[in-house]
Amino acid sequence: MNTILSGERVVKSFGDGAERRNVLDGVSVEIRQGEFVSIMGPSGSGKSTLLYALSGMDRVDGGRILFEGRDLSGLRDDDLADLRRRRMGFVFQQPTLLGNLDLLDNIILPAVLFGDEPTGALNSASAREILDILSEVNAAGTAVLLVTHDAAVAARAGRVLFLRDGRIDRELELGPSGGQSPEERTRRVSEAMRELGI
Amino acid sequence: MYARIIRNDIRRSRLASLATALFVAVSALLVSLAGALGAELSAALELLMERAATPHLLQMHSGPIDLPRLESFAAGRPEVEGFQVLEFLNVEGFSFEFGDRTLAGSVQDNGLSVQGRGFDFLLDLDGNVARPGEGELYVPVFYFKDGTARAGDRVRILGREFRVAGFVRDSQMNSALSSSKRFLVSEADYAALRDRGSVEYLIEFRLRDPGTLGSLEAAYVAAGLESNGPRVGYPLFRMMNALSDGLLIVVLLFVGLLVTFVALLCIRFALLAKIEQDYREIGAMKAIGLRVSDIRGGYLAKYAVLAVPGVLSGWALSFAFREPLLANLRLFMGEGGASRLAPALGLAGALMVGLLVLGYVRGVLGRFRKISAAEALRFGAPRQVSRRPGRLRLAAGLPLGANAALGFLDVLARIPLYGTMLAVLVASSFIAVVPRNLHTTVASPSFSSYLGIGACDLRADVQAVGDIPGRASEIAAALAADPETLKSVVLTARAFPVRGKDGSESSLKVELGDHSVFPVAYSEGRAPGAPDEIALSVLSAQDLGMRVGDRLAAAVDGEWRDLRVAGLYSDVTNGGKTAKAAFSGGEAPVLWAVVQASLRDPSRSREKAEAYASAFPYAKVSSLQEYVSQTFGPTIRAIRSASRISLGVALVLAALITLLFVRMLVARDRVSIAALRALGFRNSDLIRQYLARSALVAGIGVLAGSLLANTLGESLVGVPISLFGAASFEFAADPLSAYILIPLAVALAALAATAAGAAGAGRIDVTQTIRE
Repeated sequence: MNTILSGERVVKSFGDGAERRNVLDGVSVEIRQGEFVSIMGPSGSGKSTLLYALSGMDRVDGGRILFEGRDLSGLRDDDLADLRRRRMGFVFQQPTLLGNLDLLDNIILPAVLFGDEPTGALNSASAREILDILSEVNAAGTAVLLVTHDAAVAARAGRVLFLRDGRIDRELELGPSGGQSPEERTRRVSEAMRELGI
Repeated sequence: MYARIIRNDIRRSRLASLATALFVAVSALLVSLAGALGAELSAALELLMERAATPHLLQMHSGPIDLPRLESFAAGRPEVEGFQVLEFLNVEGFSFEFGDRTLAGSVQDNGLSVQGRGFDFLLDLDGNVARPGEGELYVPVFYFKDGTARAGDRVRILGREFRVAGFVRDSQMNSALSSSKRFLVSEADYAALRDRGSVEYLIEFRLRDPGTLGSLEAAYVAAGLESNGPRVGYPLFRMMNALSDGLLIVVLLFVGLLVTFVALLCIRFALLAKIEQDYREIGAMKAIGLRVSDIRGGYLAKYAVLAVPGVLSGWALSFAFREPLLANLRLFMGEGGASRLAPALGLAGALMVGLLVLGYVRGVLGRFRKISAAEALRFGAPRQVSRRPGRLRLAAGLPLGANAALGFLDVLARIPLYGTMLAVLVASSFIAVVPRNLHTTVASPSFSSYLGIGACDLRADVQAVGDIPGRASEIAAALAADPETLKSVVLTARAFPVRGKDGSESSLKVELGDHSVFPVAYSEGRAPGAPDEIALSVLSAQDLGMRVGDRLAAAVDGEWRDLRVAGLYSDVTNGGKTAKAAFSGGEAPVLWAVVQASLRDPSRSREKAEAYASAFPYAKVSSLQEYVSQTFGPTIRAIRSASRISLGVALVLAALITLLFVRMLVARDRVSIAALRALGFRNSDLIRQYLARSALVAGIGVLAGSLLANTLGESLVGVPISLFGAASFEFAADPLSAYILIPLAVALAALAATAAGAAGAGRIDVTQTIRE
């Protein structure tokens, strides 16, 4: 599969002066076409920051983000907006659906779908529903990149990236979802989390 | 989709939407009115002066004239298209008998005139050149306005019977600011009465090119021709005609622009509150790829939907208000024929307001660019962090109580938030106080100092009689012997050749006497005291190129003297070009004399004026109050109306904006309110807290607004008044209304609105809100 989205030695800092710190500290990541990837890590590890950097919503302070071969740092805000509108989708944790669009309109059908704790504010039944939709979207060829702290959600992915202090600490390959049961996949993710102290 | 979003949004914020549309409508109404009235005034004035063929240059002259010399001068000037000399027969006021009333109390120089031959026509109310038959009289429209005369009235002038056949508009002397009024009679009637009054000549010129007025005037003065009286040019005629209505238009525009400013503040506050509310949604829209221009378009569309009906309704309403405001203009100047242009200019003004509003909204929405989608999605709107952590201990017992303390602290902790309300209250106070101050100033006796007249109680003008100095001395002696007189002075005016800075010679009318008794307001320097000093009116100084400290050469009895310019003063009468000095006048003929006096009991000035007027019928004796009232009456009334309108507008603005603001604040603070109620604060406590906040903001706002009105407002108002020769202008404010009553009224309006707006705090569901 071709790489659709990549981050190369990405640096993102916050704060001023003596309080400035790198939330992303030279992290590199590749997302392939049609891949389902979860990002996990302790609070403050840079999960959401990495997600927003890869989607072009946040400008990075170092390194580069390439989407379908284009360096996002060279694009103007309006071009990034056009790119997100045509080729990317988002699922939000807060109920920020635009009231005048239905669910599918909100996520549309792009090349990459990003989600930041998409099931964080939902009960388990609604969370399962959302995850099933995301799996369907992924099966149809859209790459999915989710930030989550929930092992069961992460287990839906084919690959899990564990972040710590702005860098990738470990990668866990789970493979296609048909290969193992959801419980086994969840157990493997939980074990990795324990080993990493998350 | 936009339509749905806009409809929902307007429904959710009905009050804010209504207030916005209302402000836009009021702004559009006022600006539209100003534009339309301006067009009507300009057109009516142009038409009047065109039909009347107003002279480009008028030189009034008392005394003998050399007509052939004047004709020769006119013939020799290529710029002169027309020349004529008309007569103005000065008649004492008591000789005009309208039933059982006379014009004895009038400060105007009333006189008889026949119709001009070539130009300077007196027009009837249909705009035609009036042609009175024998026994017919056309009365200046000024006396129709004040109710002195009606068509068909029987009038006796110098014992001769006339019937009022109609009224005339005089393009030279229409305005109350012009001190003369011409009654039109037939040539036969004039000839019969000519020997019964004193003749003053109107030496008039029409030019091929009005731009050559300056050169003609300079040539006339250089030729040493008849100049025993005021000299007035076309631009001053136009300005005097336009003053009353012009001031009203300026006030309308001023208030309209201020209301627009307040509308923009209101919009800004509502918009920023909405953006804060929608912060996450805006982040989401940016995240899914909507451009800033697309997101902005949605918000802009809402304000377009509010602004367009506001603009159109304001413009439409202006038609209803236009006619009453045009009544004075139509009476004095007639129809202008601007029936197409006026509505168009009015619409242009209204559209300008709409475009300004939309442009401003667009500017405010520019902050969308700075909103980080990522941060908006994660954290929502950035919260203002209070700089000072709370050190308030409610249990400690506080002066003014916990509610007031909490209220004040909230304001201090969120100063930028209250900035909008503060700005509105400053603007409201400004709107209310400036026109009020202007009214009290022009209506005050001290305003006479801008007329070049010292603040006395009585004034006797002696002119156009034989032995002016002798007559003036008679009156002065009577006043000096009168136990009710506090002090008095005689000033005599003579004309002297003077040399300006560029070496050119001209004639200058100088009032001679002791100017320290009733001094005028000097914008620079002081009154002349020594025999080698002179004070100049601002316009004279400009003409001569003189400043305080310069030396002006003046010829007295054929000898050139150097006079030091001691001061500059304002003078809006006599064309604004006069001077004052203290030296003895030598042999130059006296043009006029003025006897001024102050009384031990100024309240008797009217009574004393009447007594002296009947004792000395050759003089025009009036109380200063009467003089100012007659000269500036229409202007004062117009400004009084404008000040009342402004006060009403200011109070409505203050109340409405405060109501809107407090309601939004309550919605924003619902979590804090729920927490306070959970702690045990009652609804009445919450209202008291909001009242405390408003009291603090209103207190600062009205104070700042009043101060601004008395400083910046004074400067702004001084600008148009300076065009008339008033160099420096200061408000003679009534301290009670300017500093106490009006600011208090604005503050009370804000507090009442606060109580109404804060009542919503009691309807917040405590547990639901805390759970959220």
